[in-house]
Amino acid sequence: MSNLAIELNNDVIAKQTMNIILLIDKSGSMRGHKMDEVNAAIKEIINYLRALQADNANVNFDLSLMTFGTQAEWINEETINVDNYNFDDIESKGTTNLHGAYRLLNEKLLKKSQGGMMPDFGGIAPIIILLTDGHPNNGPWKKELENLETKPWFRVALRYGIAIELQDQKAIDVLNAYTSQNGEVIKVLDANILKQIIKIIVLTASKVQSTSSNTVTQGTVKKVDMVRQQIIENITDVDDWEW
Amino acid sequence: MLMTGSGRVIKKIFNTTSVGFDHIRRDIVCQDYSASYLDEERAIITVCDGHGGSIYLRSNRGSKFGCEALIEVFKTIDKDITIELFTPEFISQLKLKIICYWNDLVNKEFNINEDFEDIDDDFIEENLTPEEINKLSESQLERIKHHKATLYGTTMLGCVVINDLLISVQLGDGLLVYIDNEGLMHVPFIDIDDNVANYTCSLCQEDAFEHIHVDITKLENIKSVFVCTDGVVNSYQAYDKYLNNFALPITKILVNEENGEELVRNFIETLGTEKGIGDDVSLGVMIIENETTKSTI
Repeated sequence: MSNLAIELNNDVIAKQTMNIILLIDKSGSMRGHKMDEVNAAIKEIINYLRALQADNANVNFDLSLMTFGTQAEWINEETINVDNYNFDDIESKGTTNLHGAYRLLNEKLLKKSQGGMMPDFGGIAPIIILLTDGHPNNGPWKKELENLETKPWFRVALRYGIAIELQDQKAIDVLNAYTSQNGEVIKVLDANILKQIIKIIVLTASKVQSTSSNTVTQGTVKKVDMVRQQIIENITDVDDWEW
Repeated sequence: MLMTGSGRVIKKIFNTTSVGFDHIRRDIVCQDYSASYLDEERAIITVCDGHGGSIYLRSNRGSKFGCEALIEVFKTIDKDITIELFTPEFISQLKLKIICYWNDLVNKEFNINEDFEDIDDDFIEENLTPEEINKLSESQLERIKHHKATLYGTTMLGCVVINDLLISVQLGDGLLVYIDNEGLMHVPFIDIDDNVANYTCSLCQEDAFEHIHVDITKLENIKSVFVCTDGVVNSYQAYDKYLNNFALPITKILVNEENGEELVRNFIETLGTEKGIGDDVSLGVMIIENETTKSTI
């Protein structure tokens, strides 16, 4: 075989990558056991994803974390594979700059060749989980959310809003606007079960989303509906939560 | 052999398709199709990818119709076309012709009287097999009753070299690129971002017209042209990886190796059946040589 032919046969075929993006409220009201549980949940999720990745020949898991307090900022602007992710506990302080979080997300839900974090071709619909315990600042979060809805990667993403020990209906409505038709708002009544909830979302989504059958963008039942249904079924057994 | 007015020659043109290992494992027919065409006036390559979702039961035929439609419509373009004649009206007409041709091929598969607007209640039983009916839910059957083209949903990519021009068309996912004589890659539809993850636009959509993209460029510095379905490109995930590990090596092989076509066909088969992401894979490629200008590739 010629050198050129060998060049063509090299093993650079990439596994599919699932991006898991966590948007984490680190405002002052999260101080104490809520922030502790979020930190513990993230550490456990990272370990869990590492094990899942090791068992899965077809999919890699990349993680991106963003916090929003008075400012929104990425902990890592580039996605990092879970095997290489070193997580430091998040400290809570400040207010709840949700519109900043949406704006930063908007900048990154683009192809890598356009400066974003998503693949140039293919890929798997990401999971974007928004965790919060309260009402956002007065800020243009609706406008920023509308901008996000114009992004194809946001439109196909599986979106979960997790309301941590939160009963304020106005704040829940903000999460409902975020998830829209592509996910659910889960009210976690006890922060202790955060780990279980996030694990169920990630595991279920990774199993369904990594199958390759493609779907027309218009007018058909979306694959995300299948995932949502399975997540609902799987979460049912966990205590201390509500839709 | 096609020689253009400026002395460019199509040195190589072919297409190849392989079923993906995931389809083999699930006993699903190959849903990709590819085709090429060459005469003294034009050279055409095209690939189409039928959808894998449960409602698209005949997408393997839809992809075949897509390639056929593109070739036949490209054949209607005047051999003396110039870039100045490529007006918005011309582009609209081209898109409409493609959609109409494809839908005509779909309609010929059905036993219906086109003069009647109302769909007969027996439409499903008269036009779908019992196996197909069993695979579909009530809501899916209802949808097909009112929009039968859904069964044939497919993407479509292709291009024609004609009179020193390269005219490219894309609907849905996949990739169409050309490599210039310096080895740089150009992506005519790089800004299309409505096809992400496993979601794609389709010829079966009622607004397919809005999602067909057309590009025209002069042939002057083009060395090779590639059309691939997403089963190929998703294996590489990034433009630079696709260029350096697929398009450039294939260009070099086809230019320099006597058995280059065989090597590439074997690679595509391996990509589909073993090494890729499991999806069907299709490639159409042209190598263009200028009798007077040297390439650095």
